Amino acid sequence: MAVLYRLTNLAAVGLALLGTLGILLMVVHITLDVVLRSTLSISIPATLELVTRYYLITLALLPLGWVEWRRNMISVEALEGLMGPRLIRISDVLVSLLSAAIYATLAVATWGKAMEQYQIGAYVMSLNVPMPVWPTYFVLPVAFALAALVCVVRLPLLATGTTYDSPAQEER
Amino acid sequence: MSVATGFYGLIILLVLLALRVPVALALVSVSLGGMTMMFGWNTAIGMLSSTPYEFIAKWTLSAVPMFLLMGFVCYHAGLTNGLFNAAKVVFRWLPGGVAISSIFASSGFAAVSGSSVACSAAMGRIAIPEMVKGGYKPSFACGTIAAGGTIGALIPPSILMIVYGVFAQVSITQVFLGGITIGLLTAVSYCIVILVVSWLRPDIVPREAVGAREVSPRQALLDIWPVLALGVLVFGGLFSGFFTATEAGAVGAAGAILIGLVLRRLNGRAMKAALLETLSTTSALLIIGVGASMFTMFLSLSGVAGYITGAVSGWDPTYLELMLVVVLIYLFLGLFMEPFGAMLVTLPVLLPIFELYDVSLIWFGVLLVKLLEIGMITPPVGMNIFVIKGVAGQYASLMDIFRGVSTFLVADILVVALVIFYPQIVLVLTSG
Repeated sequence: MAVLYRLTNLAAVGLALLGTLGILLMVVHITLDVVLRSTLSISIPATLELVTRYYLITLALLPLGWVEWRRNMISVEALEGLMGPRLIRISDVLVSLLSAAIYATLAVATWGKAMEQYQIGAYVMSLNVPMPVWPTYFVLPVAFALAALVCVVRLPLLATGTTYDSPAQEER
Repeated sequence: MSVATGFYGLIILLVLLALRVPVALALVSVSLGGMTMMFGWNTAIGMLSSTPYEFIAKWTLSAVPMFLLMGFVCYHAGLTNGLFNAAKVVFRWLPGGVAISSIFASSGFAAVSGSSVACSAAMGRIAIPEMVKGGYKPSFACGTIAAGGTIGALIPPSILMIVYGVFAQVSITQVFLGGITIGLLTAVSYCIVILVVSWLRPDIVPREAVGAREVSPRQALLDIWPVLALGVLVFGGLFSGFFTATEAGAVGAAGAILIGLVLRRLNGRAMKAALLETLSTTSALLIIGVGASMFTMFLSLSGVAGYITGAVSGWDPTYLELMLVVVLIYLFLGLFMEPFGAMLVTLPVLLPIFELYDVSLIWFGVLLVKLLEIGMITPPVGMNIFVIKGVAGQYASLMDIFRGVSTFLVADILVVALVIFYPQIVLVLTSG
């Protein structure tokens, strides 16, 4: 289990790093587009499509597993103060189970959509040049599946209140 | 039957939220369950398969990570550190001058950051020790910075306003323009609070100027030029119509990185921290947006949104009655919910009502962000208070900080009342 835990952590951090690449590419691309447009009246083709369908999708969704790992998802914690440690542990396990189920359902649903887009070879036209967008649909099932895995892998730890000695601790 | 399903959905959502299910997943699970009950599993899965992509892949939403990055880079590279000293050059001589300076420094910080938490953290580290050393009551010093932090989400750029603009389908630039007015109004109202407290209780806020002048006006200007330059670049471009919000954010982020590198204040560690915080915040926010988008669809198809709108129009409240209810709802939600969750859970119900009343949605967005920000400083869950406890916990207990900030809540309520009675105040800079 500890090995699976470490592998999941590695995958979550790896995808998050791809997300940071998405942020940097977005900054560079848009800034370059603005500079070229205002100086040479040239627009970089497919800026809108690349920004929204490639960079934004990547940076918003790929880090989902990592965000779950760090337990940075936004939730209402008003009742936490009223709960004892045992109740909090039970609630943590139940929430993690429900989260895993929802992420898994999202992964299955978006996988179907991604395959559909792949099969039709989905693309958008940008200045008369077809730009394929079907690969970006696969980001969703990958991200949701990893988030589901994170929720499952941490269940034994939440149930027992223990931790594995792993690089995850450094990341937190 | 569908309306009943919708109402059950609302109740189950509240239960899930109370059980600490993440806001995004609570919204998705209720929408999935509700859609399955109403239209069957295949339709529900159809919604799940397409909504995340369709919601996220939007140009306007790209502004969120860009403005977040700009703010985090400025914060981690310390580009905003000179703001407090610069504000002191101007306001130090006033009664409660250091506190007033911290409010204006927060306003300056707000112009490069869209987050009130970052604003509280940055100012808290610098200003609270100085205020306490200067004889300010620690609880009041902490309360001042916690309240001042809320200006971070009012003065543009504001992440809350961007997400609101996407959901309400109104111009983000126009909401930003309204944000300038309410941000400055809030800053002035807080300064009035400080002046009044200093007049009535000099034991809490010293009347005389504290400490000697540390920097010359020239030095102060030199210290804050990065923030000024970024502000002029980003807002000059945005409000003149040269940039879209996303472009303004990207150019601002690139500018902040460039200035940080040139001044040798942005090292690898600071850049990594800025990127990871941007990533984590963007992901956590946009996934709530996905959930809220599904929830909007579910409420609309169940007929609940229409039912509530119909009930409200049947009740036919006056404008003031309606606004009183809205204010009370958000003040209540603000007690225990963080702003994004509170906003996205309620907008699907409230937006149709405001459309019915022909209220300016730009004005409502600005008021909404103000109300949500009040929630950042009210107990038991007030994020700004927790942040202050984190950066200056040695000066005051959590209870003391809540006590210290309570005086500023009076000013907040007055500002909200002013905006409701005179909506044109907010709309003075906008064209809506």
